[in-house]
Amino acid sequence: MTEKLESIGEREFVLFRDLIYKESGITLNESKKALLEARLSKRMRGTGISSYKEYYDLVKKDKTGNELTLLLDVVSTNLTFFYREIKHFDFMNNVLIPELAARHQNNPAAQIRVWCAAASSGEEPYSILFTLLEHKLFQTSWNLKMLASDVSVDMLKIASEGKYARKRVDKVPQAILNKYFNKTGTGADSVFTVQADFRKMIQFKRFNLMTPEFPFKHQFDFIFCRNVMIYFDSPTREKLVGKFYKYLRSGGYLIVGHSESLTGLRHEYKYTIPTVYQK
Amino acid sequence: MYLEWNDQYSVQVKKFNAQHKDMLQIINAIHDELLGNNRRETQIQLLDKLTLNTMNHFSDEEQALHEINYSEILDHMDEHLNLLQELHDLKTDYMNNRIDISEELVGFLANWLIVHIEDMDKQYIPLMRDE
Repeated sequence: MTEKLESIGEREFVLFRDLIYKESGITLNESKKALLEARLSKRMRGTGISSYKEYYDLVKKDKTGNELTLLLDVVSTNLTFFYREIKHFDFMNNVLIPELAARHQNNPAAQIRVWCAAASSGEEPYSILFTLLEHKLFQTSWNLKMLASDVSVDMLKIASEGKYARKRVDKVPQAILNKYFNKTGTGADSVFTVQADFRKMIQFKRFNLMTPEFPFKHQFDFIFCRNVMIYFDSPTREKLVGKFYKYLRSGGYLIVGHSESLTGLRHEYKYTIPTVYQK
Repeated sequence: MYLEWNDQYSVQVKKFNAQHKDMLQIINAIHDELLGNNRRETQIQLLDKLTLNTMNHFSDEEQALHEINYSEILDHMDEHLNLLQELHDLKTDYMNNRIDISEELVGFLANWLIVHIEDMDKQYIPLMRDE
């Protein structure tokens, strides 16, 4: 039986809140206190530490930055699954890909640039890739450049390996599983791995969205950035959607998560459907 | 009416379906008011009611998830907090004249509710269904 930790004190909460904001842009307000406690205690049990202040000192003292990475990993949800927010994939099928095809009808070698800016453990970039490849208007002659980035190195490692337990691929249609994955093991213990040829189609790269200037030379056709901005305050969100705007081509789309509204932010996008915006 | 309730949104738990329907009904009322008189007082009342109903509903749902030792409860609660926070921010922005009620805002609220039901709530169906 694990000993229950005491509630986090106001002082400790402020210490963690400020550190997390500085390092990741994630805003934690009072309403997140209980959740921060629950998530911190998980990590503290892993280190054998029982006081919040002691754990804070450990994070600060660790020059390798590993403990900070682990802390940031537990405070932000890495919740993701294949085809999460199915409406976005419907939008790709019904609008986005047909528009790409029309735009490039005379250019079979067109470069298509896609950025998945919060790739987490990879379910989202793979869902985007399969949706593109499965579309009847997708041209195999296109030069597809797909970037999947995340702030967490651990998440990117999982993403680039593309290995998922049976339960994680529940929402993937059988035909897609057969076509794009290799299966090992049986029943509930089986593991599905995205085939190497498809993993290679995505470039996985660590990238912090707080970077003041994005280092891209070319613009993207569309950007998925879902369930990240919810952790940012309005000024940080406004800056971020502004930076995305700069790196989208005219007519390109920004797709955000269902709990992230752009209402009230200054931006130049055209509203398309809920959570989809066009440059 | 912005979005009609559809049985495909059912989480197969009587109480939670009723609460979800109430929430959608309030969002539809915000839309009707927007297309009608768009009275500020009415919109604030509706946003208050939506916030209150959402808080009560999330609290009931979390209690039920806790009772069945739901393994994904932290992720679910995290999403609840994020949704509530966003709703609270929108309400505050509206009350402080920083934003207007718009088609986009109503679309956001309806989508916010339906995506949460479809992606998160439906996962507890096998463990909680009562209808």
